[in-house]
Amino acid sequence: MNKSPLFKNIRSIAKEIANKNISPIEITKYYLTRLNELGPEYNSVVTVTGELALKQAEAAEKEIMSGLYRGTLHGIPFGAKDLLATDGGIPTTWGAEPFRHQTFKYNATVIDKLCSSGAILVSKLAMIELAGGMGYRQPNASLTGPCRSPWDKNTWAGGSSSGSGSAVGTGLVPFAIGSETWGSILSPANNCGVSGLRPTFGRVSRYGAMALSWSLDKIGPLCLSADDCGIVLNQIAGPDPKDPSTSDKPYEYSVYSNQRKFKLAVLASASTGIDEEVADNFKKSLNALSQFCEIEEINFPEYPYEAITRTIMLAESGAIFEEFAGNGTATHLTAPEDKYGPYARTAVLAKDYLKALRLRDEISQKIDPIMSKYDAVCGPTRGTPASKLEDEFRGAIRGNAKDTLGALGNSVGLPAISVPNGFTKANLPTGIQFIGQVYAENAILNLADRFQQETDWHLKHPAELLKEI
Amino acid sequence: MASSEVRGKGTMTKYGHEREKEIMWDLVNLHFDNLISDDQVEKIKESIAGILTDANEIRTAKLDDSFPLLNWYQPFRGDPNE
Repeated sequence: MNKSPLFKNIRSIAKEIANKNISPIEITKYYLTRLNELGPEYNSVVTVTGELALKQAEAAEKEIMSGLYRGTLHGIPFGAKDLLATDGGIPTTWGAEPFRHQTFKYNATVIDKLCSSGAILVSKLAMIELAGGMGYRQPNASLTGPCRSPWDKNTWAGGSSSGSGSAVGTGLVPFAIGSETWGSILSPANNCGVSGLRPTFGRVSRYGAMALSWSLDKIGPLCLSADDCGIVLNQIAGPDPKDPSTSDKPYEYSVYSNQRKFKLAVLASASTGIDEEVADNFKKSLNALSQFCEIEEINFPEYPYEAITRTIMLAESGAIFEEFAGNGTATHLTAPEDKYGPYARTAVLAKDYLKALRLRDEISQKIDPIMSKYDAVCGPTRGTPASKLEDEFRGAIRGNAKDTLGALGNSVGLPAISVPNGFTKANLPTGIQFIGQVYAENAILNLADRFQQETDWHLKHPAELLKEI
Repeated sequence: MASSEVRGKGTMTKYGHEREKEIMWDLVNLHFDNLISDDQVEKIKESIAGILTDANEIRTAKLDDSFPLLNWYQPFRGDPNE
């Protein structure tokens, strides 16, 4: 290979592949080596799909050499969170010991869509068991062990899409697919120093993905840049007859002119109760953003956002995992707190769940007009940097701080992107999130991309990971 | 027995909240008795307390459109642009 693809964005790798400077077989072997060598060190990999990947790479190479170039993702390797079904005997473990040998005879739609674009599946990536839905309170809650941040192996990669964040941040894959019910894409993006996009609810098909909460689950990419997230979303978005929750609204990723000014809102309470260094980095980010954004401070209407989102998630997951809880399978999970996690949610009353849904509907009606005034509302992605592997946190979703933006955004299905915005003194990355209006992914992607043109946080990588293997 | 006289208020007293926790524990225990170990009992009770704290926040939140009870509510996320 003439040029290393390590930590290069999708557009530049695609250019090399299209120009035949990098061959799909070479780049696939390159990432398979990194996955096999470094994956176990970070607990970020469940299965390396070497045989399938080389078969796909050979097909891609043959097509490209014969002049059939399918587009930007053709020949580019990727990893998928291990809750996405894959056929061909490749296990889909849901990160949980009881499902270690589970296989499916079909692919999740998102896998099919990526493979049909010529992208190459090189790995199924680690995740918190059952997408964190059992109430885990510490990082060791996966059949592959606690997933490590690229920036410090003693700190957690975030969850539940832990392996997707860590693998992108350690250069094991150029991009990965994760999922979010509440925080599961944005948290690993924050802890691993990568860019993660949670699309609008209904934008991406969930067919073939493990269900945790039917009305909250979303699937989205984790990448090295906001622009990469847009490229991947462009391929995976769209209606799917196999998933009735998908919207038939068309999506095409488009890049705005650099002359465009953005309207940005900051939640007045965004920095309340958060880590000082996180707050400081957020403040510096606002200064950078002020160069191309009109910034206003806002407040959202008063609602118990966290209680609403949690109640919906507990009620729906309680129904989804009813048999699992009742037959004692939970006792085989890894985290002690997950072994009894499914039981208490029996206490969620139907009337409380339904009122939470009604409140969500009302919130949507009030929030949508507010969101329509801005390209995005922003805040720190998380209130703290990555925690130590052995540390417990108060709640699985947010750690130890309140999460109004996460609860609100996930309950009403708003898209959000997290991008790196600095480091702590301990050299751990922090993130900034931009939440957009429903179906307005292009606004937040372009805003985050512009932020990344003005800053270089997303271009920084741990020195030891820059060495070629 | 139905009566035209209202017997009490719809809001719960502190005692009522404690009783609800106990009743919910009984319900959870009824469903999963043989799966719950002794060291998990207090932790499950804590989880139930958290669920009921959320429930109380939801119960006391005011819905703008709570009355009249017309059949206009549909339990799914509406599309704001349509």
